[in-house]
Amino acid sequence: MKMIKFGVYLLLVSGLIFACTQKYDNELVNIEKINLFLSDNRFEEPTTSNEESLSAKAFGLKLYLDLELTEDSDWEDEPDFSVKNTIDSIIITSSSNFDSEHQSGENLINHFSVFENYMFYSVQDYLSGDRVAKVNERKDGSFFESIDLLLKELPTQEENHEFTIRIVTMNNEVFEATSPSIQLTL
Amino acid sequence: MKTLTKFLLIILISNCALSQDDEFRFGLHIGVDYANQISNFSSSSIYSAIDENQAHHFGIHAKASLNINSNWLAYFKIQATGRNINLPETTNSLESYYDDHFYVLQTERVRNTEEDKPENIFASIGGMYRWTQNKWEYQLGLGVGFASMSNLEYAYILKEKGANQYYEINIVPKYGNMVNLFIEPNANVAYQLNRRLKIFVSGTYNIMPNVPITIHNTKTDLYSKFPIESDKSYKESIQFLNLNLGLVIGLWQK
Repeated sequence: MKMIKFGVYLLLVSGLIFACTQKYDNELVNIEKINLFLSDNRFEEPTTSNEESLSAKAFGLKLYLDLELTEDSDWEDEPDFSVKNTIDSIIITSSSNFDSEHQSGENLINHFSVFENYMFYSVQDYLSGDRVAKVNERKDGSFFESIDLLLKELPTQEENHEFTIRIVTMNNEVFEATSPSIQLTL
Repeated sequence: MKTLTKFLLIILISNCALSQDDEFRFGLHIGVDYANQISNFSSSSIYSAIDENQAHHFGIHAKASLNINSNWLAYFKIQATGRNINLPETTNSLESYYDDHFYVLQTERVRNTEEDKPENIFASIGGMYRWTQNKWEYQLGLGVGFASMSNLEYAYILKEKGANQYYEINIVPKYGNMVNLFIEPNANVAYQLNRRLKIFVSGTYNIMPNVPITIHNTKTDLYSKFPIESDKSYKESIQFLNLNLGLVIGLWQK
């Protein structure tokens, strides 16, 4: 009887260990590069824009994280992947003065909000720490994650802005991308 | 629909075997209904934009009739209707309602959130005048009754046109009365299948005059999470046009 109980416990414990380690052993992605585009949200959903001027009320940034699947990851079976090089800090700056409290080069992270599936998230909370990436595949076989950052605090005057996002990971990798220039109208 | 068809066939077959002589004191009517809410609400109210205006329901009813004499009968009827089956049109009417300022998104959430409950329950009593011609029977009747209409909840997302503003909308129409008085003129045509069993088709018009309706509207800014609640009250006449199909089983032979 004791042997049977011991066997059952052994099975349960080994199953638990397997379940807990499986995700982190096999399903991981690395951030390789980031790209930043302008986004126009005047209509039903935010779309990438090449305009020179956009309304600040409907303005956003599209952040693309280029991802590399780790060797053991299985794209076919599991579309959600944990990010291996987790993000520690994010800074969003503009080339121009934004408002009276935010001069050129000051962090505008609280002026933007991640919008996903009809929910708003703080940029820092959404991107940093342990997180699952929504991985998409391009036609050329590369992988990426697209993140919509919507502007929620408006500038006080119409200016041309070049936005820069700087991401630092826990293992001190630095990724930086700058958007095309855009005039934000009020 | 297949289940209903099977149900009707089983009743039909089982009751054909019960054929007996002569007239019966009571009739038990069992049928399926298609109810179309035809009320013409104020076009400016959100109530007209959600499904109530052109709601379509399937339902079931049971009616017990007492044969007073060869021409007159009295009846008691109870009817329950299922949820609205007209959701695509609901989405269109919401888009029209908000067209100037908002996009209506996540419209799969425009629905009765109490899906398992019947939306409307009607109970009525009335009288009918009838005349027969060979195997055909014609009836004209008038009834009065009470309707209980469930408080439904509708939820969807609005996006402001030209802005990063999103709102979650929850709408709960509440009927001021627990039960609402209605009158129901109706007409039936029945065909005698055998001495005990008839098949019938009927049309019933229900009208509930001046029903007090309060629309509880919660508009929550998805960014600030700040909800704005408002109540708007209307008095509307609610009308249903019912088409019914079913069987009449004769009970208690004279």
